[in-house]
Order: sequence, then structure tokens, then C-alpha cells
Amino acid sequence: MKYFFIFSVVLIAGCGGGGGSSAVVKNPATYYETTEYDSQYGLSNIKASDIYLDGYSGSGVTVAVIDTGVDLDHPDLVANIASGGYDFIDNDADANPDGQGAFMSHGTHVAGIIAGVKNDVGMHGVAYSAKILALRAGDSDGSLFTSAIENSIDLAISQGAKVINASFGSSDIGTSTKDKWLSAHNNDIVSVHAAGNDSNTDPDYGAKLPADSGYEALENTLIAVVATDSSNTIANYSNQCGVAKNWCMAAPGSGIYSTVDTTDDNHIGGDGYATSNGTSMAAPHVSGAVAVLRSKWPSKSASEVVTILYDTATDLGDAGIDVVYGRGLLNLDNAIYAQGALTVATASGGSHYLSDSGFSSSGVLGDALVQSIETAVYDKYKRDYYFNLNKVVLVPKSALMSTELKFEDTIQRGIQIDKSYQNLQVSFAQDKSVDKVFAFDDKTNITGLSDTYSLYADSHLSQIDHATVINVASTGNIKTSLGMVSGYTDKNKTHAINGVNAAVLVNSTDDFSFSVQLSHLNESETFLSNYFRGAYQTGIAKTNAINLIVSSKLSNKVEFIAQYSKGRTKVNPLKDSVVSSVSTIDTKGYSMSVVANTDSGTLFATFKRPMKVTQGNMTLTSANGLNADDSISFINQDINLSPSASEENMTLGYLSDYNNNTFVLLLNHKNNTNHDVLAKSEQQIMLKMSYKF
Amino acid sequence: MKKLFLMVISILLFGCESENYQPIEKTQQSNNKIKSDLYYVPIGRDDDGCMMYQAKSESMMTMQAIIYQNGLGKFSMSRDKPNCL
Repeated sequence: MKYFFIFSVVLIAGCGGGGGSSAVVKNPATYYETTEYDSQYGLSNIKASDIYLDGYSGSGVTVAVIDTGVDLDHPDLVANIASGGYDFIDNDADANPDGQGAFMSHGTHVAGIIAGVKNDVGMHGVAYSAKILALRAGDSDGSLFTSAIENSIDLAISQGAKVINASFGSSDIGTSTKDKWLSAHNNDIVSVHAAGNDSNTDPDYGAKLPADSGYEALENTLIAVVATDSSNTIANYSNQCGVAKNWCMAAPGSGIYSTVDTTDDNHIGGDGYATSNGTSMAAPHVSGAVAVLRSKWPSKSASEVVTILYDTATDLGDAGIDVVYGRGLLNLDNAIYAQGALTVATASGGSHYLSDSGFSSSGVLGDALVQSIETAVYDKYKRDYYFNLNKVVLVPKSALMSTELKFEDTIQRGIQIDKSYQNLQVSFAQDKSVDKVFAFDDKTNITGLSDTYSLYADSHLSQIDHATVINVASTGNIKTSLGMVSGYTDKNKTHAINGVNAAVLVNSTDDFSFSVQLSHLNESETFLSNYFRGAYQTGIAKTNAINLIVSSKLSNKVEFIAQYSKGRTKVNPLKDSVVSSVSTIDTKGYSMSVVANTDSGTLFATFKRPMKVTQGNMTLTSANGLNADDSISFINQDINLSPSASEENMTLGYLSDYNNNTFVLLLNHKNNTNHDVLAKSEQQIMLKMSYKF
Repeated sequence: MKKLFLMVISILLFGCESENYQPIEKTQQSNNKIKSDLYYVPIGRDDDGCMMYQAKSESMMTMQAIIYQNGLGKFSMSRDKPNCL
């Protein structure tokens, strides 16, 4: 039994560190929580600031406000007033309030909650970039006329409104009006209705219209809204969801600060703003939220958007859907952000979980995949979200010399059995360095060092781990060999690789030798040890490689050794993969060493350029959004697989094994570690001493 | 005397109005008729003691905002008024 005492010192001077990519620095959500934002607590209670962070504010969506008229010239509204509005009371194109009787500013207040302009003045709306289609259907005293409402619905449809806000109601509703709301539904419009202010257990019409026979379909696109206060409790005046609980939700309605007509002298101060209460104020919060969602995902139908709002609402009251709060409190933050597991789509129609998809890059690709390539992923509602592929790239870590502190028999693990039959030597090896098994001599192996710091071992064969090798070599003057290898490209024995190797030693004297190795390798799930998972999976890869080894004595004690490897790889893409094509990939690597054998030990200096891709492209057919018909759109993205830098690896070493004492000193310097142009230079020093007794 | 008694009872009931919905018929006597078939129906007082009104009509839809009345008798949606009734 052998015991080892080891006294080892490792000095790994760290000027190391891999590269990295710069991240886009975003403002926090609080950036949007301005005085203007805080002036209307409803925005905070529906969690609006997070959505503004990503630029969602209703741009491109028209919200029809059927009401008592809107102050079209209000400074906080004028920029968001759509053309095409109409006054169905005066029958003209001026939808301003009439100013008669009790001057209520109802429509103006509602419009401000939906789309008040974000301009650091007063307040701003939930969807501050949406457009208001002002449709006047009533008087400022708060009464709205049936025919004017019906005409307004027709105009909202023809003007392309995506949502209609109806902050009005009644205990009854005529069939013709019911049919108009059904028409809006059939034209893919979301209608949002105030539940009413009678403290009743059921909402008024039109909020409860889907409960009527023949209008059940409206349940998918009509939203009844009850009012909550600043503490998210239903207002004492608000009707409850009741029979409408399945198509009902809650939103802030009490104490809502918004725009009023600048000429409305019934409001103290006359500054164009006032605080009001009612389910009339709750409904426009939901209308604004619908506008935000329909702006972000214009291909989504009215019913899909409504479903998202329901599913993402914050539960209030009794657990689940209840007769007070229905689906719960509007939660715009939840509604905007991805729900469920994200998936990566393939052009063949396949879908893979993002969590199962990505790249595990081997050293040969270096920093090629660490680049900004945006792709779309989809949530459970098939909404598109975007991320950079470099977030799913695993790059190899820089090798540390600490491995060299292990004992020799740990580093040189595995077994090898050699048997000679006349001029043939048959070798069987497991878990040995494939390079060494196939080599005709062991000049390139400095005893006691791992593959990383031996003089070479950077051929294509060196990527094989846990290898089983059978090799037959002739031992005559002309040495040839033929061998088979089977193993894995990873230490976990997950990805198989197998192949054959033929070699010939062209000339072998004590002073000079030159050998050629020809290898053919098959990888079933990887290429050049790069593993692309899930949506990015690749098929069988075949590599043909040549490895040249030259050794020449420069003097009795000094020897020059060089190795050069070159390979060509073909990768079969899979149909159900984002990786739609891969060109022929060329790889190259080489090393040069000078070894001086002295009486006391071995001194060597090595310069390596580890194997890397020198030429090759991969095409990703990546999802990049949604088409108008809600199908997934794709684009081709070409990726150059050649790293932007080449690693330079220089090692100076001294090894002594004398009278059971082992002394190893290694100095190593690397530039562009792992072929990463952003990697800092690394220097490592290792000193190992061991005593065997 | 009987009419006076009924008026007092009516005023008392009116002043202690709950949040429950008031049928329009009852409020037609409340002098809050705004125009033909439009009434501002009291629906209770808020936390500051201000009377809340809701526009009601039998033939028209009405806005669903709470209405307040100031000391001058003017109706408004604004809850900013310190001198509400």
C-alpha cells in the first residue's frame, strides 16, 4: 500500500475571468411613478408602472367613449383625441359637451382615466398613448339617449375601435340596444360597462346583458366593472357582480382624479381636474387596460384579451370567482407579463419549453454564440416575448491548474491492456486519453500532467470522454494502426460519440518521427461536443479529421514537438428545430513544444492554439413575433460559428521525479481564454511537491 | 297636520337613507327632478357626511358617477367640494 504525503502550494494568480456581455440598463418601475402618476391612485392599485417600463401604453388603439361628450381641447386630452368622433345629440362632428344644465364633465373625466396624456401635468390615463374616439350620446346632466347610444356603437365599429367604454347603465335595456352590443361583440370589440351605483347585489344593464337569453356570447367580450376604493374594498355605493360574476371584475372607482371640462365652473378651482366617485370611474380603468393589451398584441381577439384580464386579476373577497368582486381586481402588471411556461416555436409547428432549450457550447465555438440575437418566445396565451439567445448559452469555464494538484494515478485514470501477437500490438483501454492510446509513442505525454497541460492532446479525439478504445498497431519498421473508439462528449455520459482512427508513422528514428492520424467521428446529439438542447437540437454530426505529429531532436537533450489538427464537420439539422441549417464546419488547432531533459528533471515550454472553428455558419429560423392572423412569424438569423478570437496558451514547466520526491512547477499564461475576445488575460502559477514512502 | 307628519317622516327617512337603491317613484317627490324623466336620486351619505346622488331615468341610460350637491344647490360630480350638503 502506498501512502503519499503531499505538500502542495498552489498560487493561482488571478488575472483571470471570462468575457461577458453588456446588459441594457433599464429604469426601475418607480421611474414612471411620477407626481402625475401618483395623483391618481388607481394607476398604482392596478400596478400600471411596471407595464410602462416596457413601453406598453396603448399606442395605436382607439377607445370609443360613448358618453356625455368629451372636452376635445383639454390640454391633457387634446393630443389623444382620435378623428372621427361625433355628437349624436346635436348631429355634428363636435363631440364637446353642450354645457347645458348641470355641467357634469362626465365624459371628460372618463376619457382622462383612459387616455389622459402623460405630460407631467395634472394626471395621465391608464393607456396614455391610446386614442379616444369621443361619441356624444347624452347631455351633461348625465342622461344618455337610446338611439344616440346605438348610433355611437355603430360608429365605434366602423371607426375601428377595439374597446368601447360604457360608463352608463339602466335597470332596463331595449332589444335594439342589446343587439347593438352583440354587433360590437361580433366585430371583435371589447365593451366595458359600469356595474351601477345602487349598492345592489346585481349590476345594471348593460353590465348584466350576457345573463339574458340570446346574448350569452357577450360573456366573452363584455366586462362588468364594480368600483373599489383606495384600499381595494368594494365601494359602499357600488353594485356587486352578482349574476355577472363570470364576466365581472373590480377596478378603482372612488376618489379618482381626472380631467374635467376646463369651462365647467361647477368644479371648484376650475383647473380642469376633479376627483369623482362611481363605477363610471372604475370602468375606464379596465378600458385602458384593454387598450394596453390590444396595443401590445393586436392579433389577439377581444375574447382572448378579456380572458387574460380575468385570469390575471388579483383575487378579492371569497377565494376564486365570487358574487362581489367577480374575477377580482384588475392587475395590469400580471396581465402584461408572461403567464405559464415559456415556449420556443419551430417553423415546422413544434413547440419546446424554453427551460429545456439552449446551448451548451464547447471550447471550439468560443464566443461565437455569446452575441445579441433576439428571438421570440411565447406564453400560455401565445403572446410573444423577447430575449437574447446569449442568456441560454453555457460556455465552458476556464481550466484551473488545481487539477494538476491531483496525484498522477488520479489524473491518468482508467485502464489499458496491451498484448503483442507477432508484429501486432492489440490495445484495449477504458477511460484513458484517446490521444495517448492511439499514439505510437508517448513523447507528447509529460508524466504527471493532465491532458490540459500535456504537450498536446488537442486533436479531435481529445473531446471524447469515458472512452472505450480498441486499437491494433503494427510494430514493424513501418508502423500503422487501426482502432475504434466509443465514448461520450460529456462527463455525465449523456451524449454518445464513436468513430474510427487510422494512423501511420511515416518515419521513426531516434532523431525524427512523423505520424499521421486520420479520424472519423460520429456524434448523435452533438457536434464538436456542442450540445444544442430542446428547440435548438441538432441531428447526427460527422467529423473527418487529420492530426499530424512531428518530433525532432535539436540536441541530445532538447527535443522539438509539434502537433497540428484539422477537421471538417457536417451536421444534419432536424426538422423540428430552430437550427434549420448548418454549413460545413472547419476546425483547426496546433501546439509547439520544446522539451529539455536534464539529469534532475524535465524542462519544457509549450505554445498552444487550442482547437477552434475557423469557418462555419448556422442558420436559426427563429420566431420573431405574431402575424396579423395570430400565427407565429419567423425570420432566418445567420450565426457565424467562428469565434472572434483565438486562445493563446503558453506554459513553462519543470518536473522532477527523484528519489521518491516529485516536484512540479508550472507557469501558464493565456490570452483570449476559450476563444473569447472579451476574456481577460490569465496567469496561473502552480507548485507541487510530494514525497512517496 | 297629517301632511306635515308625512313630510317629517319622509325627510327623516330621506336623511337616514341607506346605500340601497331607491326606486324612482319615491324620489319624484324629492325636488331633484333635473328634466323630464331624469332624477338625481339620493343613495346615502359618504364617509364625510355628504349626500350622494345617482342619476336615474326610466327611459334613458344614465351616467354611473356619484353626484354631489353644494351649498348653492348646484349638482356636480366633483367630490372636491368642502361645502357639500
